[in-house]
Amino acid sequence: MKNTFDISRFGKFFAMEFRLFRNIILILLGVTFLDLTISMATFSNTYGMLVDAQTTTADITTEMEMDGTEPITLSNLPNLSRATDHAFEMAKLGVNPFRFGGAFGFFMLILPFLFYNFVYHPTKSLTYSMLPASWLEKFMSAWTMCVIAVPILLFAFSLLVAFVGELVGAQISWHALNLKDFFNGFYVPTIGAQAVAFWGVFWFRNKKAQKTILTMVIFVIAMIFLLSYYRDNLYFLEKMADISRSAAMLFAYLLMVVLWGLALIKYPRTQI
Amino acid sequence: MTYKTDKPIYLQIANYLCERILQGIWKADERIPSVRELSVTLSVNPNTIVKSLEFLENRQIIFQKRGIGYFVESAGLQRIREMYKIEFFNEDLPNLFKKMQWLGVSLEEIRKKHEAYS
Amino acid sequence: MIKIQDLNFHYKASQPIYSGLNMELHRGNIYGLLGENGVGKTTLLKLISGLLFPTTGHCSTFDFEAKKRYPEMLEKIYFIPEVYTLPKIKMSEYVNLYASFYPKFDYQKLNEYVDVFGLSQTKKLSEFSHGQQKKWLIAFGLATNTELLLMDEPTNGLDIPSKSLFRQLLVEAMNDQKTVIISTHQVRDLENLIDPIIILEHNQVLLNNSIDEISQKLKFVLNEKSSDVTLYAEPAVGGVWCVEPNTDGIESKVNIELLFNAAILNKELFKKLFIQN
Repeated sequence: MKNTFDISRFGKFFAMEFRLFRNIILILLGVTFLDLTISMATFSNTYGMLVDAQTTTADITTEMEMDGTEPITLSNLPNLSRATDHAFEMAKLGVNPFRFGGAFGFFMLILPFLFYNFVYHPTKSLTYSMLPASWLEKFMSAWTMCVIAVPILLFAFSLLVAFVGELVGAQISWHALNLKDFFNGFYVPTIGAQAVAFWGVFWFRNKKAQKTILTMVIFVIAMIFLLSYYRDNLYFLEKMADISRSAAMLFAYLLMVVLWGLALIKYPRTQI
Repeated sequence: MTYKTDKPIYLQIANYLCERILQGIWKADERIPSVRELSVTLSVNPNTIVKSLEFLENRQIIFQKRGIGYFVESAGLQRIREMYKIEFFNEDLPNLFKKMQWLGVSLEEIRKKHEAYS
Repeated sequence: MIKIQDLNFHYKASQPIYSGLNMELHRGNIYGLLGENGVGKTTLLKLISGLLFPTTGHCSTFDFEAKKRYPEMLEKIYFIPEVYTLPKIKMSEYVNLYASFYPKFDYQKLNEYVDVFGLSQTKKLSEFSHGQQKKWLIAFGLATNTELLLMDEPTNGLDIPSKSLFRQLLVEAMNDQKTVIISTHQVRDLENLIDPIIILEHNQVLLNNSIDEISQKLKFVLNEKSSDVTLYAEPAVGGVWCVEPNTDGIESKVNIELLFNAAILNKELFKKLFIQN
């Protein structure tokens, strides 16, 4: 059939892309490793005390009624923000491998740029466009890569490093690994923000001005994520909490899907 | 107005094939190389080769066995000689006579040179 | 096999590249695509392969709308561009990544081509010289065994031995199911290979005919001097090469460079002679 989805060809295409991006992925793993080992090595409980001293505990604990058993629906959205606060609370107990400010979060956010930047180049993107696969398969490969495969890989790797780190004596906040917390409080907002990058890479292939503005916006968001960890300044933490809260709400499931949809639409309409 | 043209490629190739038949490289009823083989050897578009072979086939110098290839006609060698003879009389000789006139060379001089040659 | 109907194309509305273009290309031919710089040769190749979309009008390749880029169509096309960036991987890795997408890929032929061109198995493709990268793309492209091979200036950058190797390999790979379209300025590199010849001019096609048809309508003669009927004349050793209408049925070898210059100088005549039937 004409442009439908052929699962084996999709698999072949995905495997091809994975091999092609292998070097970038290895670098990501390497930097994540460094990031985790540094934070495990430098973690101290004084961090936790700082949070206590400068924020009213009440603010945090009243919102902590979340027990992770409620299903997430649109009406439940405030739970998302509670989930992120909850994560912060848990952060006091040890290193959380999956926090916003870390390499993991930063990379997840910019994966579309890292992998698909070549679509900007008329020469590099020729092979990609001429490869015999339907645009749906190509899109699903890109989507799976950025939204599922590489995040899972980074997640598993971070877990591994955390396990090993704990064996060697580091303090890991395993409570933070509540999967619902992780999913709603970290994964969904980050993927939501990533969706902007994903959409931008394919939408703005040829438009330099919009591309630059978008890059700057994503860069600022990413830097705030990053800086919030490495600065002991609570202002940044609060700012980040605000942003992540609003980001989580702003980038609700629906908007995310819309952005992916727009990127998908661009696939068969792009001229080289 | 004197003029000169280059022979079309397909004719040049036909000449090449005829020469090889004349030299005895391909004998009567022997198969000549295929279109593909010739186009690779000569680095020429296969369609041009086809045209050359059709030209020779029309003059009954070669014949085609469907699915096998082209073969030299038993009378092929003879017909090549006839064809070249016509060309010799129609083209080479007039050119020779023109030059003889222009240079003032007599038939007698030609005969003497011919004796020395044989 | 390739049908272009009423095609209009422009990057900027003020500068149309094609207006109402009509053209048909058939299987089993090695087309030579000629035209002055900037006339739209690469654009035409991209329209045929679906990389660019007609502004209005149709381009169908293998009975598919080219711009739809169906995988069934893409499997039958390989495009060797003039400008390219190769990834930082070895030849064998490149093959592992991409060859399996082309169902008729011939791995054995690829090895032959690599040997013949003398390409390194150990260096990364990005480290090859420009000419070596081109040889790789040609080797890979021929090995895909696609029914349509599009090449944009394939001999540009090839050293002298490789030019003749390229000719041999191309002819060897050719059969009557395949079509090759070569866009080029290096006409001498491809002499005796390209037939039919397409000449593009700004917004129009001047010629899309076989060498045979051309030599029936035009003659290429070395005269003492040009005359009133000469369409184009070029001084040479021994006289003046002239392109003239073939009113006396002379069979002459078509000189493609002379042909091109004659076409550019006599656009309307060429269109009347060759395009308008």
